[in-house]
Amino acid sequence: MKYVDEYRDAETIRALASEIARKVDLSRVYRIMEICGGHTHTIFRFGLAQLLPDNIELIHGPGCPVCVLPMGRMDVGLAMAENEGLIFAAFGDMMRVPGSKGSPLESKARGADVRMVYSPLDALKIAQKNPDRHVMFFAIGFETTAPSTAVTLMRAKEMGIENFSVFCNHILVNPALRALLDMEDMRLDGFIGPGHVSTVIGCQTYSFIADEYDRPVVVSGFEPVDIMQSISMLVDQLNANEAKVRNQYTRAVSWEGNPAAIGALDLVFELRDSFEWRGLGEIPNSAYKIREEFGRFDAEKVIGVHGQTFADPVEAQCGEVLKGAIKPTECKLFGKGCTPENPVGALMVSSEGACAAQYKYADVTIGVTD
Amino acid sequence: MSCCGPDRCATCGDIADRATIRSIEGADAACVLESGEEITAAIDLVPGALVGRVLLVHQGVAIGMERRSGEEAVG
Repeated sequence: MKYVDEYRDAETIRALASEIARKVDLSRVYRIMEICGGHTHTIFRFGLAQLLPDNIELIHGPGCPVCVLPMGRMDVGLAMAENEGLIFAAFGDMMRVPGSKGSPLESKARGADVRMVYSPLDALKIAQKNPDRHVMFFAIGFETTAPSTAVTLMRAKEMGIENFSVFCNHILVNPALRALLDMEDMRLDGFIGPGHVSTVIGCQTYSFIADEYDRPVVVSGFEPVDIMQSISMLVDQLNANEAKVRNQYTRAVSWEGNPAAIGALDLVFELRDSFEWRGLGEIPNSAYKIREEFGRFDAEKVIGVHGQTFADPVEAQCGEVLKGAIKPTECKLFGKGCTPENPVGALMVSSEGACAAQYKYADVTIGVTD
Repeated sequence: MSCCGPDRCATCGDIADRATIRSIEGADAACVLESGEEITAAIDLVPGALVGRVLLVHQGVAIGMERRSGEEAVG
């Protein structure tokens, strides 16, 4: 696989590590947050942090939508799933995510009709094949995933489908970043910007981070060479006291993003006034809801919200990890009460969560080809 | 095609698969992944999609198109 080999080549990774080591200013610390769960995963999987100088700290951001979904939203979704005759469809990512009364898989074991789909379009096909039953798709994800829900609802409307709805939990990257940047004890110096979110929304959208908060951003691809190049580009900016938005991932990301995808998002969704994030709390305008024009597909209106919801456990220190105040291993629950098998905190839920990745790849020691 | 596995969570990982278009029928394209697996991708959001181009496919929908040398990504 030429493409993958090119971006995972150990020699190139080590050369970039040497280049970074040569140019860092040893009198300072560089605190760099990778926003995306995919970047976090690559960093742990290939042991990239161990290749960097000690004064570069990588802080793992909130870019895992499953991790930041509050338990209460899962409770609401699963309460809907218990409606007589309803088919509950969701990505496989969601199947093990715990609500206060268990996960979708446990609901399935109790008799709910829970189905795993690859795409929301597959959930729509299930609705077409089962006209006498209602299919609810549990939608989750950032701006990378929201377009697939938008396309599905546009097609459902065009086809006149009556027995399909979406429980919308789509969230937005920038409000979460602004919330982090506004925190009093925020210690971040720069950001590795999300890759495929930026394929949709473009690079220009991060200009506020440079202009208002004086922090550089480099939008990055997901392979180890991409991430090492992005760190090198951030070090250059920080050494020069610059704060600009740069694009390392030029093969997939443009400055403006994808106008057709942005148009679909605007057509189908509007902003919620506020939305709760696990570990970060309520953030204004940080999530989508379905517009009135597509209201007949909005599960919160069509099915209604029933059942009691529960707050997230307070013992886990996810917020502190997200702010860079502590490392995952410094959380008092890490590896003890909170493990990937039995997650308590948000960041242990998905394999891309900062704590889950740290737990899984703790023994990786060097960037290698795969 | 699976959205996730023990080492992969497409939603959380912001993953988009590179898929080369083999044929187009309406708003759907028959594509092949780098692994050789064949998939169908919705191309509603990539108006310039043509046979031979490489799509970035997330959860069954193409969210962009990879740049060819000398041109901008996506669009």
